[in-house]
Amino acid sequence: MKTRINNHDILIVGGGATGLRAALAATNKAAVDVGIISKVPILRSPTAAARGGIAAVLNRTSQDSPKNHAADTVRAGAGLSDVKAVNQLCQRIPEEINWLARRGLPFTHENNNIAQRPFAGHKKSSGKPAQRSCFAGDRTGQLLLHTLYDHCLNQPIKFYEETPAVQLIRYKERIRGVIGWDIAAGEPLIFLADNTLLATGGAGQLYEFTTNPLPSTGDGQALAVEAGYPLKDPEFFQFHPTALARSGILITGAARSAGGILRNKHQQRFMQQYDPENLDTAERDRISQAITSEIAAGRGDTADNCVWLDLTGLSEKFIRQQLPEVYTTCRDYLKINPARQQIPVKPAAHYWMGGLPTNLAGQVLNRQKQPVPGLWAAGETACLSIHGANRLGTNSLAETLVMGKTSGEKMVGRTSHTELPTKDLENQLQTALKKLCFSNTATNKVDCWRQQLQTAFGKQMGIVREAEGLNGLLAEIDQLTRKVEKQKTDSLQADRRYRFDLIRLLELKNMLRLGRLAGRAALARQESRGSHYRADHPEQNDIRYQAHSIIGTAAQQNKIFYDRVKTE
Amino acid sequence: MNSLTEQRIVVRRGCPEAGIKPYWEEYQLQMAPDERVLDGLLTIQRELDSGLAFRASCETGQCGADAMIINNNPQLACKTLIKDLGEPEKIILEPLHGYPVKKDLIVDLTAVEKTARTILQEGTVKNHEPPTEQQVDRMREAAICNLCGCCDSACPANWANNQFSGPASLIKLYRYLPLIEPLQRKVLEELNSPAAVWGCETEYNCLEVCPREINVTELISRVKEFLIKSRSVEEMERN
Repeated sequence: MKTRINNHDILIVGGGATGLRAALAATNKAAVDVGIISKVPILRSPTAAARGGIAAVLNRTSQDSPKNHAADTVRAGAGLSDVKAVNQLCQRIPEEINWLARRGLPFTHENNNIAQRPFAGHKKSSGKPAQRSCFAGDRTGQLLLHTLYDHCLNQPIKFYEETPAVQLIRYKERIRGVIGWDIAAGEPLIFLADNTLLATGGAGQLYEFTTNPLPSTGDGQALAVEAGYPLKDPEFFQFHPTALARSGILITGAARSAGGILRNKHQQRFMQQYDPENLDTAERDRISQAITSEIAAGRGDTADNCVWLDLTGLSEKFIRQQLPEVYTTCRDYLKINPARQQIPVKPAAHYWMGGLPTNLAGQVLNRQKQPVPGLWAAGETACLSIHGANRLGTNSLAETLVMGKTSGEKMVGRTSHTELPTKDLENQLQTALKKLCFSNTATNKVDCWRQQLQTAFGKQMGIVREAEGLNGLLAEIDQLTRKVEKQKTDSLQADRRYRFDLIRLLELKNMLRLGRLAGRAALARQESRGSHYRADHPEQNDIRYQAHSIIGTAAQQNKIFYDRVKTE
Repeated sequence: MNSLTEQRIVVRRGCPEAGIKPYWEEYQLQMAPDERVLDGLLTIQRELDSGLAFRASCETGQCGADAMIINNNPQLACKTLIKDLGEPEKIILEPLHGYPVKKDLIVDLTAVEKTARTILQEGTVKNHEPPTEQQVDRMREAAICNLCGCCDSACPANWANNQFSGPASLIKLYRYLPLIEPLQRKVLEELNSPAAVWGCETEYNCLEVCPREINVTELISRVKEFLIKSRSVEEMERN
């Protein structure tokens, strides 16, 4: 098989908001040639599923400034946010909003200005809700994705769609690109580049009940771990409090900011017991934990294990205008009108705070905290510790834009002068291809295994965790990993066009790799902080654990290193 | 209420590039009335046939990946509940009409992007001034289109006229109209042809099938109006 080689100055793995923003920043800065490879067609990227908005302080007043935004972000992060990274985000995001508006992202307007609405956890100096969220109805992600993509079309950016990354190409401690797989043709493709950005989003598919789209399987993180680089804080997964009870479809937090009230089966506004000050607009970890407690105490729905989101105080007109996706979701999936009937909701896995450690420019850091030449990560794939132990709503799209742009610009002009010997490349290609050699039995079982992993992960790595369950999870992951490895064969299957089952096997292997590390880190962190709640260690322990978990280099799989957060 | 019933799902399969001619394959599975057609496809993939090819991503109607013909209507598999279909004898799934089939339910949608590409290349999008509130509101009507392809698949003018770009590209174009210098000649020429807006025969199928509930036909008519107006402005200037 003769494998095609594609050369680019910059290679971006992942075509969501982070990857597209990085590509536009790079081509705007200099005459560089960018390649974007994406597992799904660009417009089907999980960015399309983002709803609520983008946080930015557009008008500085005595009551609100980027400093307030930063303070809120750090407070939500429960001791694990990096103040420098947070400041960089809050200072740079207003400019991004204006940049997008000028390029035709149709933000919702009010009095001829971009409208801004309140969102949980964002506060003015006075403690009252701050209006920072810029939005386009509740379809912000889809409109953002399309706007960025349309503008990429007239730049020197080449797209390789339905081409997942199988393995990083490494030569002399430098990342030189990736080996990809062309799903349509059923063939490998080699991508060589001076700089490679991993922007593959999160890994919410580890969970059975998640708001994350099917492609969110942590591919970029897994490839970097496989190449010997660590993960940072992988035990921190955020649960969104309000997903539809049966399907996990997200009901945006903007619904609560607009006046939505959470109720138990006695119609009590239960947040009064858990957080009388912030009530239904408390931070996500607190609300998700409160809902879990209500359900555990038997005050939820017994069949669907849910509580109810009450929007009946809002008018139908308001909901249709400001929250159109909430309206149509309730109508189409539940056949109810949210202005008249309450919505059955429960928490679902939503966002992974952990990821690949990076510096402020977006360079991936190794175990010694040194940048890995040629390797970058941004967005949910990275862990720059903006969100710490718990992310504030509307800060994730903000991070994708600011860090997409920053890493895109910083990648320009860094060239590699080392030639990659053909023999070496050929060896790496053969190793990568072995990952796709599976028996028919394996491809038939892959989705059942995936479901087993999701069920176990959801049960033990959910909102409430404890040692025994986590040990059970790790044993189950080991067992599944052995089952998968056993099904390998020596050659690729003959019929290879559009074999999504092979891709799902790759994804499963990626998720098993990441799931194991996340489980280990959760077991080792014997305290409760932000989104990580241990029933057997319910207190926050700053003396031992105000530190980042660093885990996962090949040589020291079992060892977790704690990198203490500097507090002045 | 949510008891399982036996469903027969019949899928149009094939892979022209690999020389596999179209054929029908039937699957039988238990489904609840609240489940989506997509749940049925995922179950088939998990339990019956891991090689069945279809696209899916967000599963919630946002991304548009899983548009297909379901019992003769182009729609999203993730937004169609079993109970929405009435009680048909079988559920028949086909790839969208009007696009080249790649494999099974997967079609090549890249042609839809062509118009957007032309407009944004030739139209020199103004980026010095942000659009006004009124412009933004009009843009948003079209911008929520996720290019799923249902409208193209339902459009008789698109089936009959090979030159016609189809409604989806025109919606993309409408979205950027306020940002384009009003009299960019090349853009106008591109639009002002049977391959673009004048290919639309106002059949209204597009707006009936649009999963995003965009008033597609109305927006295309507004582009027609815009063209007629700019043409008369041009003529006035020439005189």
